[in-house]
This record gives sequence, structure tokens and C-alpha cells, in this order.
Amino acid sequence: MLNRIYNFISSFKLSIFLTISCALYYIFLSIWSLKSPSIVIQNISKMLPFKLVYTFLLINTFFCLTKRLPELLKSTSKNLIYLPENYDWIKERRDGKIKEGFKVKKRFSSLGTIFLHFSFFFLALGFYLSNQSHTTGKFLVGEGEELLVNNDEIEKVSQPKPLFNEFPDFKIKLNKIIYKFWGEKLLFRELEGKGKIDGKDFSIKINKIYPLNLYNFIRITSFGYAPSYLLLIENYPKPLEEGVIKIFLFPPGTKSFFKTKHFPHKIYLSLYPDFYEENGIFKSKSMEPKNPKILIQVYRNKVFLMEKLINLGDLIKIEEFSIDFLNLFPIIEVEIVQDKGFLIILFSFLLILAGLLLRFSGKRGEILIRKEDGVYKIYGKNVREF
Amino acid sequence: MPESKIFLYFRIFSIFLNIFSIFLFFTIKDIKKKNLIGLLNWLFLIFLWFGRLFTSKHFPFFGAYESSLTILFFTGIILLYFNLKEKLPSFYFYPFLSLAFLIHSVFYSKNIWAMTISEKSIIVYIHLIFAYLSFGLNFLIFSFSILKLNKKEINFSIINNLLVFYFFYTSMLIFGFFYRFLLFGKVVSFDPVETIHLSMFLIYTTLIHISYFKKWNEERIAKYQIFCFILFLISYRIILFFPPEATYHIIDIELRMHIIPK
Repeated sequence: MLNRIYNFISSFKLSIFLTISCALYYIFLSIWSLKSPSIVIQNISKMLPFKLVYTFLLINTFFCLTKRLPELLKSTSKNLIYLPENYDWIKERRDGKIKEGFKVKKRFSSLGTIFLHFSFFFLALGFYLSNQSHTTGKFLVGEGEELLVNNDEIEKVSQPKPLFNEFPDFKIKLNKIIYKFWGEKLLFRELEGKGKIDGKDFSIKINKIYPLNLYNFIRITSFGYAPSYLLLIENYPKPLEEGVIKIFLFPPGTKSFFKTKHFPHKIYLSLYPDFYEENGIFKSKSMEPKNPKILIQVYRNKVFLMEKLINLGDLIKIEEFSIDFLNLFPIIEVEIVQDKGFLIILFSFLLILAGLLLRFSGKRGEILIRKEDGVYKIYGKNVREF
Repeated sequence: MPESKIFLYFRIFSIFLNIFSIFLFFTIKDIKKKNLIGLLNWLFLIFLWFGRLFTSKHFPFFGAYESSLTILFFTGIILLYFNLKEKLPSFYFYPFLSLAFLIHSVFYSKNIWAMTISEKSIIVYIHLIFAYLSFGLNFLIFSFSILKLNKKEINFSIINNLLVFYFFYTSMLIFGFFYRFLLFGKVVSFDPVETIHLSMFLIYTTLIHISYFKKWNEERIAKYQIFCFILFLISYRIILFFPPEATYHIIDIELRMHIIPK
């Protein structure tokens, strides 16, 4: 009985059935994507029937590999396996210069099969760890700013997964944000943040990660302008408040708000970096802050107080205080990703490539030369020419 | 930026040249001459590809038109290799492919767009080159599968070349997954482009396994390869029928913003 189960699980027919099932499953997901958003597809992909197919495929691969492993390992032997009995061609030579002996070609090609199939177990482990730990968070940092980032300050974008550990504490100093737009369009041709993390140089882009350790990575996810301001009150010589408001005023027209520390007022801001007016509608010619203007709307609790289009440096009087927006600073949103499976997945990818490289060179080949009755006979197996 | 008129006229000329090549294909019997016609066809297309490269100032893979040209260009490189190195009539079926791609791309915008930060990466280029090379090699295997089924004697092993194709194709997938992590922080998202190509990967996995274990002869593999290649061809163009929000792959669809406004 056990034998029959083993034969079934390690059977070639089951492998074919499972790979075709998986292929049909992906075709089904592709067709479903025509009508449904990606989040629905991701949820379907996590359903039990699909997990079962993967599990069976892994079990089948394991038993198939176990069954064939002795034979595959034998193929890596430096001695002859097939010859002299099992040859597919034979030549005769009378030339006395030929040396007797044997030659093995592509000796390690069967290791490719082992690497390739073993890599699926690492891949499965990597995906399991990734699913159980993948958590993302984000924080904002402006050009020239130095921040001590710790787990509590990072806004969690996704729910922490069971294997999630706290995000590590680190000190970041962002020296420079390099950004370049494509003409007047909202398209970045360059976006890079450079600086130091815990004293070490780093550089991140939207498609360039920086590893904080083996499973925490950071990269840029967004860009914006943040205004600096002064808050003043009458008969008081120093500003009551000053600082940079970490809000995104980008792309042009985006509305964001902040509250002062000392007053209950809520101030809404919309930035037009390169301002112009067309038929009474405020617009921006480009994304560059060449002629920046800010449209402000002020509320005290829910009471609307004022709306005004201002230049940077204009002093605005709002009831008992005045506010002055001085400058615009480029800021970036940095995403921190915790993924404990990524490096294992990467390793399995390398194993797949190594396996395929070894395998596609072809089968193990052998040549045997020996003198029989005064004639040199050359036996060949899986080798085209001698 | 709209396409310049000289390239528009050259494209129209190339389409007519292709139609003429296909006419010759049916009138000429000698396969070597058919091969020469296909090769000439490709040489004319090279001008179109380089023209696009210089005017767009980037590796032309952006949009349905550019990707069509690059697929044809890289397929030609693979065919040229087999033509020169192995002395095989690899170009004989090429005019059919180039006509299909040129006509299909007519329905899409030829405007030139700048490369954005999401596409500027060496990993993207490696991913693309593997994608185009695997297409080229698969087309070659398809072409020779047709010959094998027509009982033509040809020194070409379908199964060995399928293994090389499989290596290119798997490398394409791996570099794609790796780049996905760099760009989105996750290796797989079940985007339709991913699922379509994963299914193709599994279809070829099955074909290679059956061919080896059941010791299929070349003719039998050729039959299945023709069917698989048709699926493969669809998988390279079907993305154009998906709504833009369904995929992050912008290679074959209109340009979209990468940093979504908050």
C-alpha cells in the first residue's frame, strides 16, 4: 500500500498533471485580471486550492528528485558509467599516436537538474517567510534634515505580519535630493536621495533599495515640497513658532493642511510651483518652483475665515496671529520594507540560473579509446564528434 | 513628440516590402532564396529600429510600436547567428513575423515618450534583452518545427534549443521578479503579465519534461512546439488588451504616471 502511494506521489504523470494545473491556474488569474483590480487577483491567489496545488507540486518534486538522486549523482562520477557496453558510435583507427584512455564531458550537467529542482524548496521557504513577515512603513525626510528614526515614528502602511520584528532604529541624514522632471509633465527623469545612515553613505531611488540589515530595506516612494513658516504675534519680538511643515504640496494643486501648535486654526495649503492664471483658474506651468504661489484657506474649528493666494514671504494676518511662509523644501517619502524571505528567494533564483546553465550544455558525454587486436577503437556516448 | 515623417514613410515602405516578400515566399521554391529574402527584410527593418533609437534617445521598448520593432530586431540577431554559425536558412519565415508585428503596431501610438525613473535601470534592460532573445529563439524553433513537419532535412535539434530558450526565458522572469522587489518591495503581485508568463513557463516546463521522459521524437515535439509558440506569441501581445490599471508593465501600454498624486 505504502509502495503504491509512494509510486503515485513520485510519478511523472502526477508532475505533468500538476504543472498543467498550475499553468491553467495562472491563465485563469490572467483572464480574471481583465475585469478585476489587482487586489482581488492577489486575494484569489491566496485561496486554499492554489496553496494545495503548490504543496502537491513540491511534494511530487521532492519524491521525484529522491527517486532519481542516486542516478543523477552517479552521473557526476569521473569514471566511465556508460562505456564500453552502452555506446552510440564506434570508430576504428590504426594511428599509433592515439593515447588509450577515456574522457568525460559535461560531467556536472546532472548537478544542474539537482540545483534546479532543489531551488524550488528554497523558493517555497522564501515565499512563506516573505508572506509571514512582509510589513511596510513610511516616514518623511526633507533635504538637509537629520532624523533619528525608530519603530514608533514609522507609520505602518500594512498590518504587521506574524513574523514581523520591530523596524530597526537608525539615524538618517539626507544631504541631497536630486530631482529632474520631463519638461512640464509630471514625470520624473531623476529622483534620488543621498546622505548618510548611521554614518555610512547611502543612496536610494524609487527603484534602488538600501539594506538596513538582512531583511529591512528602504527606498523612495514619493516626492513633495514642504513649506517652512514663522508664526508671529503682536508685541512679541520673537516668532512664537517656526519650522518646516512636513506635508506634501505636490503635484501642483494638491491640498494639504496643518494645525499650529498654539492656536486651534486649521490652515489648508495648495501649491502652484510655477504659477499662472487662465480664465480665473490657478494653474502651474511646470513642476519646478520657479514662481511659487500658495493658495491658503483658514478655518477656526469649522468656521471658514479666509482664502488668499500668497507669495512666499508674504505676511498673512489671521485674527490674533500672523503667519509667513518663507521657503519650500524638497522632501521625500521613504518606504521601509521588512521581508525575511527576500534573500532566500534571491538565493533560489541564483540556484535556478546555475542549474539551468549547467543543464543546457547537454547530457554527460563519454569517450573511450582502447587497443583491441592491434586497432584503436574509439567508443562514444552522447558526444557528437571526436 | 510625434514620429517624424521620414520614419512614417519608411514604415509604410517596410510594410509593402514585407507583403512583396511574402508574395515571393509563395512563388519561390528554393529555401535558400527564401532565407535571403527574409534576411533582406530584416536589414531594412534595422534602419527603422536604429532610427527610432536615435530619435527617441532611449532603448526602444516603450509602447506597442517600439516593442514590435525591438522584438523584430532581436529576433533577427538570433536568426543571423544561426544563419552564419550553423549555416541554417533561419530567415525563411521571418517576413510573416515582421508583417504581423508591423501591421499590429499600426493601431498604436507612435509618439515618443521620455524614459521615466521606473524604467531606467540596468536590470530592466537585462530583463528586456532576455525577453526579446527568448522570443527570437522561440520563433526560430517554431520556424524549424514547420520545416521538420514538412519532412525537410535540417540539422537542428528542437529539444536542445528549447533548453537554451528555457534558460533565456527563466532568466527574463527572474530579472523581472528581482526588479519588482526593487520597485515595489514585493517579488510577485500576480499582475497579468506575470501570470501569463508564469503559465507559459509552466507550459514549456511540461513540454521539456514530456519530451525527455517519454523520449519524443523531433517531429512530435515540433507539433507541440507550433501550438506552444502560438500561445507564446499571444502572451507577448495580449497585454495590449488589458486595461492600463490592470498592470504596472508600461512597456506595451500608453505612458502612465509612476508617482501617483496623494
